[in-house]
Amino acid sequence: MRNPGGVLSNLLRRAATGVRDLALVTLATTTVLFFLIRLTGDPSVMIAGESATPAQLAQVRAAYGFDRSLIEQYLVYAGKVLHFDMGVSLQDGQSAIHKVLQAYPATLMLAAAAITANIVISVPIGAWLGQSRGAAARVVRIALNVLQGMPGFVSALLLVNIFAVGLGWLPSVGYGRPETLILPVVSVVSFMAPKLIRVIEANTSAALRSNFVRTARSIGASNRQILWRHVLPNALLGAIALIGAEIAAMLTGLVIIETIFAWPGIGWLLVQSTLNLDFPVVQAIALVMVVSVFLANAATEALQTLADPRLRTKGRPE
Amino acid sequence: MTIRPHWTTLLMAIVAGFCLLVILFGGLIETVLDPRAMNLDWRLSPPLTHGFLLGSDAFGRDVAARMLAGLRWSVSIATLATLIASVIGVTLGLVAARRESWLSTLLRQITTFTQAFPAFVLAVTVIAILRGNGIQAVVLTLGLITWPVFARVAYAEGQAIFQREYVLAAAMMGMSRMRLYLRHVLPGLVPSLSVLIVFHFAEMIIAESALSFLGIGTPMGAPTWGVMLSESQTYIRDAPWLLIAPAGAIVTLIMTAHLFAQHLRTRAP
Repeated sequence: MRNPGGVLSNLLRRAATGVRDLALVTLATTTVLFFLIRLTGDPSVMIAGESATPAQLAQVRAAYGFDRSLIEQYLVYAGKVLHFDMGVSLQDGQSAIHKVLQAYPATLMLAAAAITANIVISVPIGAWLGQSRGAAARVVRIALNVLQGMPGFVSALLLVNIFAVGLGWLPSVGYGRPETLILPVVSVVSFMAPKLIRVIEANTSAALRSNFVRTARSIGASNRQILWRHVLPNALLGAIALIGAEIAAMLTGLVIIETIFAWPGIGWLLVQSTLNLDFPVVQAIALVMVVSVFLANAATEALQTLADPRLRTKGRPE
Repeated sequence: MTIRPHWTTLLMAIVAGFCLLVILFGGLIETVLDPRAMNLDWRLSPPLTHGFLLGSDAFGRDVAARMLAGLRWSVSIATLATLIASVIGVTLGLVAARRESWLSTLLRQITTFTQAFPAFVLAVTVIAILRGNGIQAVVLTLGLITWPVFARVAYAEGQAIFQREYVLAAAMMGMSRMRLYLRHVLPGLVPSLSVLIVFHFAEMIIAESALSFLGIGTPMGAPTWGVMLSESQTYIRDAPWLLIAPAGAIVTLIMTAHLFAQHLRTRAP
């Protein structure tokens, strides 16, 4: 490192922009959610129920401050959000944010397991596909095409049908035991892996054709050395970028996968709260998801910068 | 793509023709194959028994009839949502690309924001808040949430096209703004937009079936593939055809769309 001070100030500047962007994204999300709920009718009817008497409605209005002006309500709401107060669940009166944070570790665990499994499976397959032109590679490519056309929840249902119902090898629902993790993780990997394999395959074959590999070969490096020292590090850089970009997509997939497997994470909670019209919890989940995706993206970018010296001075790649 | 023999063209033509026929003659088909008619004597009949080509479900409803009704539902929603998203996205993207303005800045911000946000979660949230059940709620929500993809492409490519000599010349000769967009700018976008539209259509098919699978936005009793999938879970032990039929339909439609998009991409200059 020729200029360590430059790297540090660069990182600090990026951290500052990151914090600013996070604040903007949070502000935008909460504002949109606030006005969406206010736009679509009287929230006091939503809380008290369709059959509430006018007296009950007035009580709810006073209790929640709906009798005040919209701007005033928004300011109060924004102030509460700043203190991590998203209201209470309409189902059981628990703090909405508390409910969400209780469900959060389950999602985090599933996501971490899925990302790890995805990398462990995709990197060798992608690296192998990038080097081979044979019949086996053709078959794998066709299989990947089929897998890519399969939405995550469809493969999840098929997996449940085969391994839980048909063969009885694995439990289809449950939480807490390691074997209950297998089917959900495989379902998530089945829709994330094809893309990652594609990227690693493309990067591997591009790296194999590059000048630095030709140079390495000309000075007598073995195939194994070329793969480990020159090709894979370059192929993995693209993989880091893709994994970051796919985190939002994975959260989407998790909403359905968690519902199918009754996995008590925030995706499952989102669907339950949506069906129960529990808006404070839905809002809290949306906010937590936005912040998580944002932080994951920031972490990916930082990881990329650490892994790829070319990004340290030039800024982010196009 | 590496694999592109002629059978893909054949498959695409068959699937597309089939979808078109089902949508055009949907009303006529439903008079013969009623997706809602229950036949309680023949519940859960396996395929090819009692005159059920694909079997019957727990209420004795014809799975084949429900598949065709589901096709109409899915394809209509996906087409309309793609149409809304592409019109909004391309219009905003091109207007922003014409010259740097507050709109370009806003658009870039919105694009970054939506990229960081799981669109499906937003769709679930919005439909929940709107408490919309029905085709309009799903179409509008999906269309209004997913347009930034189109805006990003139209903006990026539009910026290059507005710099081309023939566009500058046409503008200098006093061609009206509208005509300039339609005659000179839009045709330049067609290669990349057509690929994007087909991919988006596939995404919308997935999003629609996922939403109706979760029971969000779908009216009670509507025969959609997502609803069929979620109903199949109860009888998975006794009636696997209830799962296989809709799953196969979704996968076939999406794979065909992907093949078509790849076909368009390899043909694009």
